[in-house]
Amino acid sequence: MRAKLPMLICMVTGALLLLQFFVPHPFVQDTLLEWVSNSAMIVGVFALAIGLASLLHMHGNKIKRRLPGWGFSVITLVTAAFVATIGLLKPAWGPTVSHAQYVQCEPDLHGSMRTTRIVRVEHTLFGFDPQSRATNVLVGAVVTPLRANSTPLYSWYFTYVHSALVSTTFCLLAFYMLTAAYRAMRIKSWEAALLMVAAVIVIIGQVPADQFIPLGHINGVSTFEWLKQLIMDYPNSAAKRSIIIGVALGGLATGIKILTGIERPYLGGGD
Amino acid sequence: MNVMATIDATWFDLDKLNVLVALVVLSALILYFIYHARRGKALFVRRIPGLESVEEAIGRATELGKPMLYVSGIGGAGDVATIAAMNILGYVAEQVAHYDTDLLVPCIDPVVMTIEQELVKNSYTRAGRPENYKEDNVCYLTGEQFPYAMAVSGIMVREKPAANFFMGSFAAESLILAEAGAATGAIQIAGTSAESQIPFFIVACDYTLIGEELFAASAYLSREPLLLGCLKGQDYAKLVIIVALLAGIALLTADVCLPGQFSQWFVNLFASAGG
Repeated sequence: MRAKLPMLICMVTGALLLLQFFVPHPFVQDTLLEWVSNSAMIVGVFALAIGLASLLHMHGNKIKRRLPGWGFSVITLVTAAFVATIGLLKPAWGPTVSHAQYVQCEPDLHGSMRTTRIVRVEHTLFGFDPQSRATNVLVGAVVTPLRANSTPLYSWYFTYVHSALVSTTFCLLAFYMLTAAYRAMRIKSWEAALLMVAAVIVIIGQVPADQFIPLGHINGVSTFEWLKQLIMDYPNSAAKRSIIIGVALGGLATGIKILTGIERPYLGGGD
Repeated sequence: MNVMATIDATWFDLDKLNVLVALVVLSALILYFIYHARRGKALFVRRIPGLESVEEAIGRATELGKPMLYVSGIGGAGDVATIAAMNILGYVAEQVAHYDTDLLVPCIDPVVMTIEQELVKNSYTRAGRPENYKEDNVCYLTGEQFPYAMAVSGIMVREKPAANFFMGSFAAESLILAEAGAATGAIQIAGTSAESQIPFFIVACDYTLIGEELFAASAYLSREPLLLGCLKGQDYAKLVIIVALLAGIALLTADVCLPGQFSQWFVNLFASAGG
């Protein structure tokens, strides 16, 4: 029973989500989907508490035992407490927040952007009002908050600390790309040579190189740009599509294995 | 936006009939081979170097007395790539349990963390070493992409794992993780379904599972007949797709020589509702 009930829930929920793709009836698209979405949110909230407990436990242990790097754990816990406090409390030193808008900006489960979701979230003393309304909720959708109307301290933290740190991390990619490109383009084999030639053409094709390398024009564009488009449209697209088809079939097979109970990782690998 | 206006009050969207037919045909193929596998028919699977190297990585970590790091991507528990990553984690954890090597599993999603804690714990129990399981080794770090990438990079720099596994769903953080791992000298095995991240893993990791190989991993590692049957079904489904592609190419080519409507009809069979 311990294994059968979760399996049954998984099968029924999976079948319902499959059904909603084909059935446009309002009962399925609104009532059923909203119910599934709300259930997922409830599970998510409980899981978040477990996640927080894990974080506190791990860093608390590190601090208690003075393990190497325990100072970082102190910083982590203090920062987490600070952000949680300014996020939850309505500040006495700032204007009352009327509402914030959350807009869906990622593809839904089917990879399409067919629904734009707008959620009105009312702020109260201890965070979000439970009466806030969510419309057209899609399971698995990722929402990104627009924080235009956040509290001043939270806005300050978000703009000048969080966003700055995230942007810095993202910028590191430029350097990592360079080292990765260097490693990839060392000519050790004919495949590496081919890769390097293709990469050089694509890089030059991205910039207005015809001003410096006059190789003429093909179909109204510079030769390098034309070659770049050729590489991107044919060999590159063909390789990408073959991977996409393989992934889609792998996903379908995994879905079947989950729905039929052949694979049950969600049971923690147990029987 | 008036969503209600776009919803048709019927019980089946006829524009998606082709998707349903394809789903039924491909699923039937997979189920047929699962049925065959149940009857004990031997099935061949080609060698996948990325998966062959899993034991090499575990052996290296054990020899060096260093931990191993397993990152199951930034997807949630509903992401099919994360589910595939969990399947591989179960196998890796069971192998690691035999050697008394630490397995660090930092998570971005608390639901995934809960499942993976249970998964690793069960694997240690199956291996007969439940006492070696450390709950803190499977932990939640943060819910955001780049803070997560930084936190995992920090773990790599501090703990210096001998082997890093990056399996699951990845986005822009893939190269940050893989390069940070490469800088520590760890053996790295990656696998993702995100085709845009595969090149990054290929250049920065020792072995990379490309696309569908990630989903084949559980069958390949466990050699369970049912899972192998599923894999075989996938291969035949791919064959059906290849035949359809070749037929489309032939018809469109013939259309250039002998203009007609047949090729367009054939193309429309596969067109989505949105065009």
